[in-house]
Amino acid sequence: MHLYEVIKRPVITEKSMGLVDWENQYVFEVDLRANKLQVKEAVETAFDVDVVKVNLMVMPVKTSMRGRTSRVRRSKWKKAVVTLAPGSSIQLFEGV
Amino acid sequence: MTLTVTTEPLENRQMALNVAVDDARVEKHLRRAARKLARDYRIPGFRKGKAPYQIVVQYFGEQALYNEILDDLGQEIYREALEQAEVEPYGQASLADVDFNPLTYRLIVPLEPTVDLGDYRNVRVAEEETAINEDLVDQELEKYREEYAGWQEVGRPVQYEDAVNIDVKSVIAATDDADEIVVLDEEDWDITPSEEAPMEPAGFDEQLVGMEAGDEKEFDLSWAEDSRSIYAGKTAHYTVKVNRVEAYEKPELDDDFAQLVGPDYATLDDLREDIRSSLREQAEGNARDAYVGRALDAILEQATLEYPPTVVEDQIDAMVREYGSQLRQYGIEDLENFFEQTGQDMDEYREGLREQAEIAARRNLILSELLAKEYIRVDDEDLDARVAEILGDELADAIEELALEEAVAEDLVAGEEALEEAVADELAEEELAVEEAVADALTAEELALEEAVADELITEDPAVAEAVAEDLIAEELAVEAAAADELAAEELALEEAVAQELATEEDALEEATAAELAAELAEELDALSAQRDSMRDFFRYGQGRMLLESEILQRKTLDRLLAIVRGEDVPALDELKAAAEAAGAETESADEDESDASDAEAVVAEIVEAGAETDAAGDQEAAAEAGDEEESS
Repeated sequence: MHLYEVIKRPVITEKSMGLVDWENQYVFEVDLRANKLQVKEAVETAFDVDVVKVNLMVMPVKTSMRGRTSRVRRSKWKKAVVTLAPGSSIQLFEGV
Repeated sequence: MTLTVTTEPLENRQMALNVAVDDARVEKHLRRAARKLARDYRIPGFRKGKAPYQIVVQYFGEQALYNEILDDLGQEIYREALEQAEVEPYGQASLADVDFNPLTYRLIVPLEPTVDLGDYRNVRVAEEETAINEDLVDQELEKYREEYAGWQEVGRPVQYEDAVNIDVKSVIAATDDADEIVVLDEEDWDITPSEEAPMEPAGFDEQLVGMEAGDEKEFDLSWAEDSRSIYAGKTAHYTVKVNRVEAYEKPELDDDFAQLVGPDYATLDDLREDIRSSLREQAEGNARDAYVGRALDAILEQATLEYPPTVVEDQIDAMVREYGSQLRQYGIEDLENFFEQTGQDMDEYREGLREQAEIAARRNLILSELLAKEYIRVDDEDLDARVAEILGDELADAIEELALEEAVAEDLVAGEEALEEAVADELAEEELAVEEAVADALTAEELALEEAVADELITEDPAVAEAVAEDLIAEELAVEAAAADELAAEELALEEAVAQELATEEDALEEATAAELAAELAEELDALSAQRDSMRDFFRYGQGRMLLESEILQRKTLDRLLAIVRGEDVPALDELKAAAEAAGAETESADEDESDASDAEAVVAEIVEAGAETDAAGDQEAAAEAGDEEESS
C-alpha cells in the first residue's frame, strides 16, 4: 500500500478542533487497511512533523432498516488520532 | 482614526469621498459576521455557533463575509467619513465603488445647491392683461342652451329632421285580379322625415316637407319596380294629416331662459355677468400662475444655479408619488402594477418627467433662496389672522346650523301645544253637547209624563183634577228643569276640568321636552366651542402650526416675488433684515432659524409641486385617461 493512499481526509469537527487545541492531536480518516506505523509514516511525510503516538479505531458501520433488509448508510471507517510532538502543528486544520 | 478619507470635488455640487478602511477594523467586523453566520447556519461537525472563524471562512467563502459586513460597516463608515471630511451632505450619498483588500469605498455625496439669484431685484416682467373674450361668454351661454334644449312644438312648415305626428292612410286601389290593399292606416304616428335615409316608397318624406300642422294632403306614390318591398311596382293613394310638428330646439336667449338656468338670475344680463365673472376669475388664476412662472423664469435666466442631480431625482420621485395618489382616487392602489398592466415602463415614465422636473426643481431653488434672502417670516399676527379665518368659517356654519335646529324645536313645541289645546277644546265642547242633549231629553220625558198623568186626572174629575194637575205639572216641571240644569252644569264643569287638566298636563310635557332639547342644543354648542378652542390650539401650538406657516410662507413669498417683478415698492433688504432680527430677538428662540429653514424647504416643495401640477396636469391627465381607456378596453 502506497504511503499516499493511507490518509483519506482530515476530520474537522468541533471535537477534533478541540483535540488540536488541548492535546496537540490531529484526527484523520485513514484507509481501513492501514496500521499505526503506516499512519505515522504518512503523516510525517505529508506534513513534515514528528509523530509521537497514533491511536486507531474502526468506526462502526451506520445502517438503517428498509423494510426487513438493512442498508448501509455509512460504511465502517478507520479513524486515526495522531499525537504530534510538542511544537509541531499541521496547518491544514488551522485553515490558512 | 481607522479611516483614511480623501475628498475630490466633482461637477454639479457633488463630492467624491475615497474612504479606505483600516484592516484591523475590517477584521473585527469580519469576525463578528463569522460568529453571526456560525450561529445561524449548521456547519457539519460543529454545533451551531461553535465553528471557529477559519472554518466559517472556508465554508462560506470570504466574499460572503464581506457581503455581510458591507451594509453595516458602510453605514458606520459613511457617517464617520462625512464627519472626518467635514462635508455636509444634502441628500443620501450614493456608493460608486467598493474595493476589497484593502477595503475602499468611493462615495458620491451631493452637496447643498448653491443659488446666486443675481440682480433679481431689478428683474421686471410685464404682466399681461387678462381679457375676457365675449365669444367665450357666448360659448358658455350656448352650452347652457344645449343643456336645456328639447323637443318643442313649432308653428312652421315641416322640415327634414323634425318630429312630425301624422294620421296617415295609404291604400292600393283594387285591380281586376287583386282586392284593395290597405298598406297603412295609422293615427298619431310619429315619424321623422329624413333627406338622407328616406322611407319607402320614395317621395313620402318629400311630400311631408312643407306641410303645416293641421294641413291635409292627398297624393299618389309608387314603389320602384326593383324595390324589395312586397308592394314593388304598385301605386298607393295616400291621405295624410299633419297633427303636430316638433323640432329639437334650444331655448331662446332671453330673461325667461336665465330664470330657467337659475332662479337667482332675474335677467339674461345677470346670467351673462355671472358667467363673465367666473370666467374672469378662472382666467385671472391662470394668468397669475403663468405670471409667476414667467417671473421665476426671468430670475432663473440671470441666476446661477448649481445643484446635484439628486435634486431633480427627488423632484421626479415626488411627481411620481403625486401621480400615484391621483391614481388612488380612481381606486388604483399599486402604481407598479398599474404600469405593468398598461404596458408603460416605469423608467420611461420617469424619464418623460425629467424635463418638467428639472424646471420645477430650478424654480424651487429660486423660491427657497428668495425666501431666505428676503427675510420672509411668519409672525403670530399672520398666524392668528389665518386661524381666525379658518375657524370663523367653520364656527359660523356650525352655529347657524344649531340656531336652525333650535327654531325647528320651538316650532315643534308650539305646534304640539296648539294641537293639544284644539283637541281639548273640541272634547269639552262635544261633552257639553252630549250632556245638554241628555238633559233636554230628560226634561222632555218628564214633561210628557206629567202631562199624561194630568190628562188622566182631568178626565176623572175635571175640576179638582185640573187644579191639582196644573199644580203638579208646574211643580214637576220646575223640579225637572232644575235637575236637568244642575246635571248639565255639573257635567260641564267636570268636562271643563278634565279638558283643562289634559291641557296643562300636555303643556308641562311639551315644556319639559322643549327644555330638554334646549339643554341638548346648549351642550352641543359647548362641545362645538370646545372643539373650536382645541382647533385653535392645534393651529397655534400644535402640528397645525407648521401647516399654516408653510401655507403663509408660500403665499408671502409669491407675493413678494410678484411685487418685485412688477416693480412695486419693496422694502430694502437692510430694512427687512433689521425687522427680521428685531422679531427674532423678541421671540428669543434660538431654534427659530432652524425651524424656519426646514419650513422653508417644505414650503418650497409644496410650491414646486403646485407648479408642477399645473405644468403636468395636462400630461398626467392624458396619461391617466389613456390608462383608464386601456383598462376599460
